[in-house]
Amino acid sequence: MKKYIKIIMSIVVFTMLVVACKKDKPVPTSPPVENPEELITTCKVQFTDPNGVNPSVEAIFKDLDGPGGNAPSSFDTIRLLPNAVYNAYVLLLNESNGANDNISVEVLAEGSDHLFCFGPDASLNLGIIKTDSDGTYEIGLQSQWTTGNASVGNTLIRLKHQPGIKDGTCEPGATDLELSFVTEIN
Amino acid sequence: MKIIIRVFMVLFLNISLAQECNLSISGKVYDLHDGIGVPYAKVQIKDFQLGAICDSIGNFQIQQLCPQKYTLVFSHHIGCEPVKLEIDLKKDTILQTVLEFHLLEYEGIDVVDYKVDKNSSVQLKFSLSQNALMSGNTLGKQLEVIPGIRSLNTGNSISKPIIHGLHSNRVLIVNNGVKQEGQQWGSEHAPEIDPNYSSEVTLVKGASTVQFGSEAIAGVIVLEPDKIDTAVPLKIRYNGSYGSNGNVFGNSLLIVHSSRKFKGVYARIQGTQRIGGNNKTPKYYLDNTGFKELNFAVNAGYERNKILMDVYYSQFNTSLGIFSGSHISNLTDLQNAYNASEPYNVSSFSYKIKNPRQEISHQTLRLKGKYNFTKKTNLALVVGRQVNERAEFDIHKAYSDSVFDANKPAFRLQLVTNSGELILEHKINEHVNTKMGVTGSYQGNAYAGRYFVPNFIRKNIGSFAIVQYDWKTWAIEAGIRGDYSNLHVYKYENKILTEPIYNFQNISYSLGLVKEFSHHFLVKLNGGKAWRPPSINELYSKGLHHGSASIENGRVDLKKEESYAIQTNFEYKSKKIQTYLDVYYNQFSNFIYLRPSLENVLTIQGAFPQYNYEQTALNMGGFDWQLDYKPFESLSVTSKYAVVRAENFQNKTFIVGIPADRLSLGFLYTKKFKKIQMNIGAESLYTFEQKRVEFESDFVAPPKAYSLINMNVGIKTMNKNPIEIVLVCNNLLNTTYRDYLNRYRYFADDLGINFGIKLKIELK
Repeated sequence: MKKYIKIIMSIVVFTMLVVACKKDKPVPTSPPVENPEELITTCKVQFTDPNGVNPSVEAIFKDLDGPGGNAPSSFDTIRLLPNAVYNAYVLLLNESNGANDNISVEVLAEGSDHLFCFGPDASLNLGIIKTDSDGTYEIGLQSQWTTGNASVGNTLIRLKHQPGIKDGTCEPGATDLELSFVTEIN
Repeated sequence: MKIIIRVFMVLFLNISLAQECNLSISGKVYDLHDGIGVPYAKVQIKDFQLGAICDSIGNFQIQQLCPQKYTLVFSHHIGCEPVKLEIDLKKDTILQTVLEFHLLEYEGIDVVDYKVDKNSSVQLKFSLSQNALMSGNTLGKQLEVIPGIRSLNTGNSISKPIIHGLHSNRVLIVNNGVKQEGQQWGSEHAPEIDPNYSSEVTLVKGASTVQFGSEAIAGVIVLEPDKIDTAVPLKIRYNGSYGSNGNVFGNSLLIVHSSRKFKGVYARIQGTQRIGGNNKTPKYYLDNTGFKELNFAVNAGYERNKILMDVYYSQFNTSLGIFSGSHISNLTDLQNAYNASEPYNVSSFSYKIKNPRQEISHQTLRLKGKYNFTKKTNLALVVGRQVNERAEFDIHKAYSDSVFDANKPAFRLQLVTNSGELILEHKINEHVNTKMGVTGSYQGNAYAGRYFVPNFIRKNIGSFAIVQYDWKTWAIEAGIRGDYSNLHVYKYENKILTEPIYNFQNISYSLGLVKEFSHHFLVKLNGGKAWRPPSINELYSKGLHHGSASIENGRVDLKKEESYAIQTNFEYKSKKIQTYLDVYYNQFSNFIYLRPSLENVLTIQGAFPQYNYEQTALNMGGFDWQLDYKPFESLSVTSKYAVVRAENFQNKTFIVGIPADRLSLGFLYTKKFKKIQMNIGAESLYTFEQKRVEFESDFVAPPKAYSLINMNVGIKTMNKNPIEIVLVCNNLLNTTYRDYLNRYRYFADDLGINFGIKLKIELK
């Protein structure tokens, strides 16, 4: 009988230890440890004239607290001159909680997993071609925008995350960014 | 010739009886209904020409028996089925046999421990271990053998039970005496329980549910292991299974020891290992749908005379992949995924689990003590501690530097629950039984990483009383319970700690009535009130859900949800026909649900639909019906039909996520040979299209109706240590379909054909 009591007791003690001795865990009242959120809070589309004649243009979307919560603090209109050529660069930043991370650099480093897609409305006299490459397919961080006569519409800019499934088209993958900028050529 | 054989057999019997066959079985046969001895009942020993007739007060004696297994057949008046009792005779045995010659257990199944539980609660008891056909599946899938239970699935590895169209925190699961406290929020959070330890599952609806607490709105699922058989010192059960779809291997071993030297001491040890890879639909593989599971449980105790002491510890560990095609970012992605003929993430077979994935562990420690003051009164104390940990890993987008650390979860939750209950059972007389008790729990939740739900401490205290009255063909059961629940939330808003406090209190009650109209027909009627406090995610969830491409907002001022329910059960059993019908109606006030908001939310990732937790009055009703027809002893034909309707009567609106109607028809043919039993069965399952949904309340319309065919062939040896092998084929025709309750239906087809083999070995 003693032997059995010993066995039972040792099981009890063992299980208590297993439960009790797991490494330190957060307690409900202590402040939770936040993971720095992997957010893109800011998208700046920067336009420059390759000939240095027309003034540079910048259109900004900014939502510092990420999806939900407060509404985006700025969502600019893209204003371009007619019958002009611009080099465009998409600058993505994480400015949440005082951070200032350049995410475009990361997108470039992971170029074969990412693809930008540009979709100007048919009403816009605007042609966009991507001018960079990951070696096989375009990326789209850099592009050339050619404007025609004055017109108004929307330009849809999307960034797709396509790890292992990039085929040059926009359909596969998850969307990291999708913004429809009001565009005025005037 | 015939005469010669008969003479020879009689001689042979006499010879074998001559060898130390001096044992006896004696006892008394009681009728369950009035508790008095059954006069002149017939007791026979099957396959032997031995037997006895009871005297006028039910006593009998059979002598000159050998130490071996016998099947006793008790029969009484004509028209009632005889009842069989299998015993393994080792010494002179006295049987106090309480028999119910009526409908509840009419069948000639070999029962070792014969007991009729005449309870007005709607209870359905099923044996999980007996059902080799289901072994190797998740708990949710295994529970589907019970009429009225369906499962809510996310792929093949996440499954949770649905009762009367309700699930999650409206279904309570009691595992080995402890109310399961896991991260029950969200359809992709399955109960963290290994079904292989438990052998018996009981579905409780009605008055007895008040014992278990609030949240038992739809019902309570009680899981328990096999009873210890003191006559068997060592019992080993092995369950092995293989499934071709996903190459799923499962092994489970249970060892039960009952000491001969120290009477009353017993121990159980059990372990389960399961591994599965990518599943396959009829056309393609589903990327990242594998899982790994490793569980064990140890249990030891002492039960003798008046005392029971029992300690139990279990661990459940699983790591599972989330189908990579389901991880999408906005509504356009979802539409693309839905319209694509197959997912973009083309896959092949692999056991590898990538991100997104979940890692879950659940530990339970339970101590139980029971003292029987007299045969009529006992007191039981159960204390439990559960530690539930869940880590969820997102697809890493490789933006900030920290993401290169792929081992860091996006968020981690830890839920610790300490619980206790003290229950007194007292039998006032042979007709009246009472049970009362107090229960309490202290629960803390903490998170790290991305905000999902805030930290909180929840305290519950409750007390209940149940009275059962049993008189002739009537039984009445009444239960009442009072609960008090305190929720203390710790939440950081703009880095400032806020501490909202919620108090909920309520009374729940239930009344049940049973009437046995004849030996074959029984009606149960139950009515009552149940409630639950809002759960933490309903109050405080906030933000983007990648799995469903939606923004979910909790509501901090939700009230408690209350339900008034009524249900009627009809049971008819005869030799050829058995039927069961459960009709129910629930009226909810403040039913908590996710309501789509008309405003989409603009984010840098595009537009997202927004859902808010809201409350509404809701009327819900339906029925579960089952019919078994046995044209011959060896053939049984089974049909099941389940229907649920849910509607807000005031504004005539439906809610999402109610199971579609389902109809099934199957047969089982059993052939018994001398030493083996073979069976072959098939089942055709038809699931209707769910048409009762609000227009544009879901991302895509519910899938079309579909039908599936499943088949199985089994063989079982009929000896002391039976071996059972079952071959199964699910989705025999490799039908392409999607199920409304499978969350992956937005992104991919459901599973294609699966061949399985199951092996069960029992050694005693």
